[in-house]
Formats: sequence, structure tokens, C-alpha cells
Amino acid sequence: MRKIANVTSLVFIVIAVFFFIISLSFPPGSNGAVGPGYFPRIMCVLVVLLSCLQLFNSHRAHVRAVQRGEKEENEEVTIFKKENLRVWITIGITLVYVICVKAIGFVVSSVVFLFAMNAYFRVQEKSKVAFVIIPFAVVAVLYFIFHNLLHVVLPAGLLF
Amino acid sequence: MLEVLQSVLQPSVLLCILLGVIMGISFGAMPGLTSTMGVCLLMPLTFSLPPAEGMLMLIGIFCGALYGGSITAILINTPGTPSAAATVLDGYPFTLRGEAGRALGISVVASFGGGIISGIVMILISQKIAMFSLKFSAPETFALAFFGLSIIAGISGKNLVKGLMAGCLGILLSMIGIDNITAFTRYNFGSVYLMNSLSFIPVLVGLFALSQCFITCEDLFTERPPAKATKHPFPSKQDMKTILPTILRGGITGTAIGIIPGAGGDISAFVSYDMERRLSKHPEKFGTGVPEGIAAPESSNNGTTGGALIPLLTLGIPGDANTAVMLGALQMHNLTPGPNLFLTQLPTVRTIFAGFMLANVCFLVLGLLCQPLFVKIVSIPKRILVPIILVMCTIGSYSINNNYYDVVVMFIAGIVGYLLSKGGFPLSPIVLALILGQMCEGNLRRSLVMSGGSYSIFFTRPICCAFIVVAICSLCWPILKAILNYRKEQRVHNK
Repeated sequence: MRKIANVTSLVFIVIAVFFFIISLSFPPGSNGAVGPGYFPRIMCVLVVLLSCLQLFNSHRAHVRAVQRGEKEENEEVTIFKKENLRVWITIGITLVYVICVKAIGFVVSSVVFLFAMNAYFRVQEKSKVAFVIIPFAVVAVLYFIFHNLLHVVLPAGLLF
Repeated sequence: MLEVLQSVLQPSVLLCILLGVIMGISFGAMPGLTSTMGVCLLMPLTFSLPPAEGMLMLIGIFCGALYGGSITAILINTPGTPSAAATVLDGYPFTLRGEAGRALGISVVASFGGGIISGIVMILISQKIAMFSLKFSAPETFALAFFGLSIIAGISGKNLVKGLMAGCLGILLSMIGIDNITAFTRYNFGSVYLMNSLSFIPVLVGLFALSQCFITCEDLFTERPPAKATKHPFPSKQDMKTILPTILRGGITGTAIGIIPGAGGDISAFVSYDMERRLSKHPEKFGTGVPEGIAAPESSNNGTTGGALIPLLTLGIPGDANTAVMLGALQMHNLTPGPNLFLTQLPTVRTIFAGFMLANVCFLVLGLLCQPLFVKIVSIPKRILVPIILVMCTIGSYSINNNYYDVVVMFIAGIVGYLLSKGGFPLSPIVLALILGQMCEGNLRRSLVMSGGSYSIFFTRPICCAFIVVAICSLCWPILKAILNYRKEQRVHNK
């Protein structure tokens, strides 16, 4: 958790500095009113200050824990270990799905996506019926609700 | 009165409330699915409904989910929503003793009591607050938004600095798009889509529904112990006598905490549990399965429902993440929260109030009679649910504006949300700041135009000054507390 929080703080600082630099080119205010860059600049400074404080706090907690020879109180949180692989693969498949929704349409890509995810999560071990029926049933229900009831024009590809 | 009853008792309204509550209890009861997720995912479905029906469906989900969390907390020792985490402490020992039915009965009656108390408070004070806010001009609105932001950051998580960081990031993101005072376009990086500012519903769906899916993926295959349904969940006379004062206290505490922006059911449940233990004659028995230990958190977390709706309807400031989604729904239905809502749309508001009460009755009846059904729903494996929710996130965020970019924003927000929650950052400050940030900035600048650039305008107007003082106090309080704690620790350490 500590490492992730530290990296996040650094990313926050980068974003804030970036926003700050852009805001310098905004037009100034007139007649006592502050310009559009005023508020973002305050926020950027705050984000940088807070992120530094966070880094400092986490460093101090680490040093204290090492001094006392204790393990750090936080349980280890991982994001790039073997256990997290499933999450990243899920994110990957979802990314492909999001792209496909635009390219080949909602209906086809959703059915394929649900089959792929069910196969990946080994749903067939739980229930073979669910494995076959869910993709079609879910997409049919969603299509009915959104297309027929809500009149949403769903992204369509060549086929649907 | 009669008109209100007539409008609430229409079959379509009743059906919407019933559906909302059933969905809510199911979402709340399933660990890994939260009430915010339920409200997010079903919000697109409510657009085609008339305003009152749509809002009541969302309110039904909200109320139902806060009750539903306790079902799994009691039966399988896993809170269905974060708000039910305190219920586990005394709820599960009941199940171990074989008294799960008794515990479920206490929990549903307590939730109902808390909800009704908060509803009464909401009905009594909403209109007064709305009329009071008619006096608000730009400086007051700025002070109010600033007050909201300060509280959100201060109490939203265990870590103050991380909460503040998340809040500031939210404000920075709210700066994207056309500045509504000078019409200058900020931070759009040449994109036409971003000119219209980030639409916050996709961000919300990503942060609360998609990232939760990713977190659920981590322990997808760990099997939960099966939950067993019980009979006769109605509490006995003896139990009712014991829990009645607890429910009253819990309901009122919950309502008060719900009104504060940023504080939701999870905080109020622990506050009430703690309070009840201190007031109790036998504090040592807490944690071993006493009726008060279930009644306190349950009445309190349902108490936040009405509480959170008060600032939403009267001031347009959401009390927590659930009501933030409802703010979006209100805007979609062309209902602008604030005094105007009470002046021009009074019938709708009254229907919403009455429907809120009915939603509470609804989950009481469902909780007492249909409990086996919900136990069955809870046993649907996560691996079947996750892919379906992923599809619903996609289609839901697309259908709000029929815009593909919203899906992209939702996806990015999901990954960011996953990483941030892994780093221990609270997510709700981001969303609330996204809403309050614009309100805060716009009104700050408008007030400075009013005063010709002098900041004294914020301190010469009494209401405005009061809000700012309270806001500064609430920002300083956690810092002060941390320093005091640190000193105490040092003293103990030195000894």
C-alpha cells in the first residue's frame, strides 16, 4: 500500500505541475474578477503540497517502523503480482470489448465478450446451462430495455 | 394530503418503488456489489420514467441496499456493503448461537425505524432549509460549497491527507471544459468532447462500479460459506422493548450524520455502535451478540438515507456518493435542486417524500416475508455476476448521452479508481469535489465581481462568514487531533 500510495503521490505532483504550467497561458481577469487560471493554480499548489506531505508522512512511518524493528502495520497490497494477473487480464479483455463496441457494434461484441469472460472465469464448472444461456439472455434483455424502451441508438456495426 | 396519497398509490409508482427496493436489497446483500453500484447501474433505466417514478426507484435502491447489507453480515459474517461492517460484530454471534432469524428480525425492524425517523426529519425541515437558502447569493453559495468540500476531505477516510488529495484532484478535474464566467476553454487538449467538461455520471460509474468489479476479480474463486434462510424473523416483544430506545437514538444520529456531506452509512453505523456501547449497562457484552449491537448500526445506517437527501433536494449538495448519482438523475429530469424545486415542483417533491416512506415500509415487508428469496440471490456466484456488470457499465454510461467517449471516460475512471483504492485513497471525495468544485469556483469568482475584487465580502455577510468559520474549524480539527494524539504517543513512549 505504501509503495502504491507513494507512486500515486508522484503522479499527482506531475499532473498538478502540468496543469499549473498550462494555466499560466490563461487570460488574466479584469475589473477585480479573477481570471480562469486563478482557481486551478491554487488547487495545483495545494495538490503538490499535500502530495509532498503524504510522501513525507509515509517516509516517516517507514523509518519509525524500521527503527522499532517492527513490520509495517499495513498488510501488503499488491497490484503487479501473480494474484493480480486475473485483474489485469480482465481489464485487458474489457478494453478490447470497449473498442469492439464501437467497431463491430454492441450486440455482437457483448455476446462474444460474455462468452469469453465466462470461459475465462470457468463458469461452466458451476453451471453449464448458465454458461450457454447467460450471454444471449443478458444481451437480449439489455437490447430490449435500451433499444425498445429507452430508444437509445446503440452502437451498431456491419451486422447489428 | 389526499393528492399526495393519490399520486403515491398509483400502480406505476408502487411498482417502481417495489422494484427499486428488491434490486437494492439484492445489491446490498451481495458482498462485492455496493449500493452506489446499484444506483449507478440502474440510473440510465430511470430516464424514460417520469421524474417522480425515476427518483423513487433510485431511492428504493438506496434504502433497500442499506438494509440488505445486514443480511450477509448476519448470516455469513461478511458485510454486504461497507455500511454493514459494524453489524457483523454482533450479528454473526447470533447465527453461531443458531438465532439467525432473531437477528434478521431485529435488523429489519431497526433499519425500518431508522429510515422512518430520518424520513420524518426530512419532511419536517427540508422546506425550511430550502426557503432559508433563498437568502443565499454568490458569496453564501461559495461558502456553502467550501464548507461541503472541507468536511468531505476531513472525515471521508482514515487518512486525512489522502482524502484531501483526492478532493483536490476532483476539483482540478472539474476545471476541465468551458469556464462558465469568461467562456474560456480550459484543459480540453484540443478535444471537442472535453469542452463540455467531464460528464460526471460516467466518471462515477467507472469509479464505483467498474473499479469495484476489478477488486472483486481478485478473489473471484474464493467460495463464500452458503447462507441458510431462517424462519420467523419477527422480533419478540422482549427484543422490541430492548431495541426501541436504541433505534430512536440510532435513527437520529444517522440522520444528523447523513446531512453532513461526505459522511455516509459506514461512518454513522460505527458512531452509533460505539455510542450505544458507552450508554449500555452491560458494555462488556457487546460483540457477543446483543440485540442493541445490531439495532444501533442498522437504524443508524438507514437513518443516513433521509439525512443525505436533505442537502441534495434543498441545496443541490449531495450527502454521499449515492445521492451524487441522484443529483445527476435529478438534472436529467430537469429538476434543479434548491428552493426552486420546492416552489415550482412541490407535487413531485411531496410524492418523493411519501414514496421514501413507502420504500421503507416496502423493505420491512420484504425483509420479514421474502427473506429466503434474498438468501438465494446472495448465493449467485461472483464469477457469473462480474461479466454482466461489466456489460451494464458499458451500456449504461453510453446511453446517458449516446456518446461513445463517455464509455472511454468510464473505462479510464475504472482503472484509476482501482489503482487509487489500492493505494488507500478514498474515492467519494473525488466525485463530490467534481460536483462542488464548479459550484465553489463559479461562486467565488462571481462574488469577487460583486465586491470589485475585495475578499472582505466573505466576512461581512453573517451567513457566509459563519459557514467559512465552521469550514475552517472542520479543516483544522483533524490536524489538531493528530497533533494531540502524536503528543500523547510521545509521552507514553518517553515513559
